[in-house]
Amino acid sequence: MRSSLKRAGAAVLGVLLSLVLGLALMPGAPASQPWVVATDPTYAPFEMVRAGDGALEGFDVELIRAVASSQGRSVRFVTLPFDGLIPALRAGRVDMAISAMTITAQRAESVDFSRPYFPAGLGVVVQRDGPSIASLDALAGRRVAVQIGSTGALAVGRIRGAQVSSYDSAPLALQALLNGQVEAYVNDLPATLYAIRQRKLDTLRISSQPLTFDYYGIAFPQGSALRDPVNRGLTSLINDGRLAALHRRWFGRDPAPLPAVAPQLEGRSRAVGLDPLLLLRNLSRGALVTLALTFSAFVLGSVLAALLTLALMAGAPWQRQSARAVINGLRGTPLLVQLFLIYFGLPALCQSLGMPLRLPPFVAAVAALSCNHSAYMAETLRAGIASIDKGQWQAADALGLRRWPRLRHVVLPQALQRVLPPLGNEFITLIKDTSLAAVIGFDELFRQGQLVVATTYRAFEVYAAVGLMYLLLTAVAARVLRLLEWRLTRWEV
Amino acid sequence: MTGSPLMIEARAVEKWYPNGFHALRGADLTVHQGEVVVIMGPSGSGKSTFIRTFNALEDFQKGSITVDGIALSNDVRHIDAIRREVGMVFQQFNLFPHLTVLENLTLAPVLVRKRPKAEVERQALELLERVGIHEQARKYPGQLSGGQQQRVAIARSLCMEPRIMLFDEPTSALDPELVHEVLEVMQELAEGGMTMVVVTHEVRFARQVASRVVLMAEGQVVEQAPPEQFFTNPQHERSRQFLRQIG
Amino acid sequence: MVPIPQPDSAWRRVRRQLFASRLDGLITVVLLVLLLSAALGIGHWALSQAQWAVIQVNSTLFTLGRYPLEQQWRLWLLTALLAGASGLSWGLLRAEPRAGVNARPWPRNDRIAVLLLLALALLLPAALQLTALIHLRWLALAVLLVLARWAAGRWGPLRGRWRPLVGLLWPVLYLLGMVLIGGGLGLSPVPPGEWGGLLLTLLSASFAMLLCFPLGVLLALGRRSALPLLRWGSVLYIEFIRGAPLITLLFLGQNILGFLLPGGLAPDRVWRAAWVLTFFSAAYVAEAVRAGLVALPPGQLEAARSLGLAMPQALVHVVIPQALRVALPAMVGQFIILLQDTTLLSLIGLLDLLGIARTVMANPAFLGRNAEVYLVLALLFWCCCAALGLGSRALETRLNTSHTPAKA
Repeated sequence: MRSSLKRAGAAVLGVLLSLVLGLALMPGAPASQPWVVATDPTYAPFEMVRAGDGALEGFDVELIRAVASSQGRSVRFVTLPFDGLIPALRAGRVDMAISAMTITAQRAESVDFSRPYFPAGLGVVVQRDGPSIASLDALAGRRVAVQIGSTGALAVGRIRGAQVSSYDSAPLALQALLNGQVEAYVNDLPATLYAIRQRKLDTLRISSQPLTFDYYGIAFPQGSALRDPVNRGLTSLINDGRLAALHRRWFGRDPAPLPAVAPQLEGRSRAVGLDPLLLLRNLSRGALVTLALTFSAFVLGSVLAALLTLALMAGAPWQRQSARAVINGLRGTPLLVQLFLIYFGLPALCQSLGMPLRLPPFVAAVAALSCNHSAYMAETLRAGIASIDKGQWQAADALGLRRWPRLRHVVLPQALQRVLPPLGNEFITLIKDTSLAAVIGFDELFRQGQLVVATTYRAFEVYAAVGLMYLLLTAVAARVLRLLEWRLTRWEV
Repeated sequence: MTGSPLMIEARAVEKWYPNGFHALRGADLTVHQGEVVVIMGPSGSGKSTFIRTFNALEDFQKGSITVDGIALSNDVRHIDAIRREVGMVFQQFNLFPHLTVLENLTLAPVLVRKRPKAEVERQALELLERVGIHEQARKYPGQLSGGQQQRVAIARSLCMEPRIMLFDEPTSALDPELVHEVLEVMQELAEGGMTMVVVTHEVRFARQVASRVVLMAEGQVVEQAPPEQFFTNPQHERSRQFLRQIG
Repeated sequence: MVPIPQPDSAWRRVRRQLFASRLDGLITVVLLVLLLSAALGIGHWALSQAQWAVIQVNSTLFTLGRYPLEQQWRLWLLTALLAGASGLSWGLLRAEPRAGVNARPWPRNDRIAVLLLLALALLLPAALQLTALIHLRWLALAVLLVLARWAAGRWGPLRGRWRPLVGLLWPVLYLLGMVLIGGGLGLSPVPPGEWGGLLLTLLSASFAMLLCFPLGVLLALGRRSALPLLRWGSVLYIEFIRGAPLITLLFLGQNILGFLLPGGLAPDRVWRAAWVLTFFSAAYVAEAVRAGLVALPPGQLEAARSLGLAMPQALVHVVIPQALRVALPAMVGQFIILLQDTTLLSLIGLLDLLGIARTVMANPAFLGRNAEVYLVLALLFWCCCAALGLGSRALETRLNTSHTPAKA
């Protein structure tokens, strides 16, 4: 009876697994009628998610829909991070990308562009009481925020002495400026103006004239057959005034005249190839930062963990319960959310409480990583101490040792030996977790790789190299930790 | 010794462990049907290793072993065939802690012999009654005493209806007051005509039950004799030394 | 160490706990002042300065992402089914007699849980300012859950024969849920690109948990296999996966398949990420299971083999069940981490809970509302993880009721 039920259960489970597998292996969309258009919907007013139902809206979204319908086609949107757009185009996973992408000679080495559809240019935003900046060169020696892979990032990257923090999306970069974590923010003028006007951010000041003259274009995989129909559609929208109407509706004024070919593409310069030596140098630099971050977070995390363990094992009931609550809270929330909460949320919270707080990325990253890991380490320590035989405590009691000497001389040395291997694992996990610090604009190993991808668009090779680099770091760390363990526990034969 | 058929024949068995230790140095043994052979010897003499080669829990490098007419080789089918016919009782019981007593007994007959479950359960309950613990059938091994566990382990082996039973120090892990209940079961089994090879230090059991006592030392069989002769008039110097030590 | 038994006044108890020595007293005072000021500050902020509109307006977005409005009835249906199934399982688990614990239809904890549930169903939609219709739906769902719990508690013990079917309920429901969410069988398809928010987070996490488990067991066995090729392959896989951060693997996964397969054939981005999560967790599950295998006394396998069981039979019936029991806590820990790791999907542009939060905050209307959004997110994750932890602890005690391992 029971075994037949068990067998039926196994059969159902098998069918279920195979069905789930089948479902998952199902190809995404067959090459079908609608154009598959990639966009990064974090760039108001060009592409954004509407509050409430989450539909995509914005200037670009309406434009590509109009272009498609003029060609008798429809559009299916795929959301990708901005720095993932060109790799996706190169891999042929999407038909085109429209995401307020500036036409540059460098990008044109990897993708094809449509004719320009929007006149743009870089603008610099600063705090109202901050330094006045009239040209890009005035950014030398300042802390500047940019969006990774954007034209702003390219331009600021050429300025010597600028301390650049790159963020995943434009709002994060703007938030960093609002929090006072950087002195200036460089990005395309129209979008930034829109954001500042919408939110009435009167604490910010923006250069009213663009510092450069650029144009946005729609990007295609090289040699794409869709470029011509899209160009035809764009031209018809320009000629019958619908593009101008769209522009008026979103920006309140007529657009400047658009050339048929972006000036950036007229005298083409050489693009950045993937230089293995340069990649190695950048990654090694990132690895050093990763190690520094790991060590700092580990030391601080150990101290916090020791305090938590003390409260957990030797504290009064209320201390024990609050330590347990802290540990549960830290272990129950994702590290990434903690990182965002500390770096972006905490300054915003403090600001609204009237206590301005400037958190450098390093401090925020160390704080988030050490807090998160201290909870796990405290559990390890507690388990190590609890695993010591009761007889050891009793023997120490019988010898008349008091609370602290008993812990210090009898229990801790034995516990330490038991917790060393799991603490070593915690260290190795920490090395890997530091990669999340990339999201707050911190140039550690993973972000260095991302930055190389943002200029060379060779995602696969670079990320594979980054993965191998981490493997090297963790393997060496494991080796060193094993040696250390052996040295520290030699007394135990 | 009698005309009854040969059940185990080991010839010049040599075994080296991977670390180079030479555990068996040309050990010989023959066991006929219905015999109860007790193997004794100082620790490290290779008794356990020897008995574990009979159902291929240990491999060996030289010599030959034939069990119930099947030669032990690396052929997996031969090994499985032998294991079906040879029961084994371990020093540490090795009951499956995640299964009830009854499930421990029925697992192998149902899976290996493909017998219907209801029939096996009936037989298992009979066997448990024979070893005196049928009222514990639905409990888990962890809830039983050591002696009870070992009796379950014997019943578990019997449930496969083996032609030979091997006992590897079955009472060494038991508290002294629990030893006799296991030995009683083994004695009954011997009286029922089961072919048995027993590694043990229990002199009383050897005297009363064994048809032959074998002394092993340094990986070899040093002396074998009927119990009366072995305990009263040992021929070999190593045997005398061993008997003096166990007093 | 033994406290002297004496009637304790509340004051004396407080004194003993908080002010045992001068140092303890100092620590207590400093901590209390710190905690109080922080709590006051945050309370003041939450009530007067925080703008919770960002949560209220976007609550659908946070839960479902860009799931088409006209198809959302499917998710309501699924939620109703889930509520019913949870109520049934809850009631049956509670009603099952256990050694030493009297089965009662409504233990005190359950009554508190039911009250909390109903209060949540009443207050949460109100706090989010949802429409009266949705109010009603949530209430109906909560009532359904409680009714199912009551019915199972009332009649469950009488029909013991049906209890094993409850185990089948969940797999079948999972499959049904996949169909309801993704379409097929006559329902119009909703591509994975439109799933988002909590829906995507839970779906990708549960998918990875379901599949990484068998994969991890196979890898653990492979690592201990006698065949060198299998052993080295498993070791290499496990060590490579465990040596690299998930984020690089996710980025690699997004790009690797595009290179290997022609554009149209590669699975959708969401599935690709779910597979990376699966393969990633499998390596960690394998290590947990391996620890369980190592902890198993070698005599267990010897005993099984002596009884004539073939190797696969011995593994399935003797070795793996015991190893899994040892590995369970570590595996649940891995599953909790897996749930949290789904936040990394936002970094490759998928609209999971965190991804949706980031697009919401990209809207200029909600710029600067970081603290509110991230706090709510943290709370949501904490609830999910706490639920997982609670469930696993219940499972552990259930598995450990009677079988302490044999003395070995």
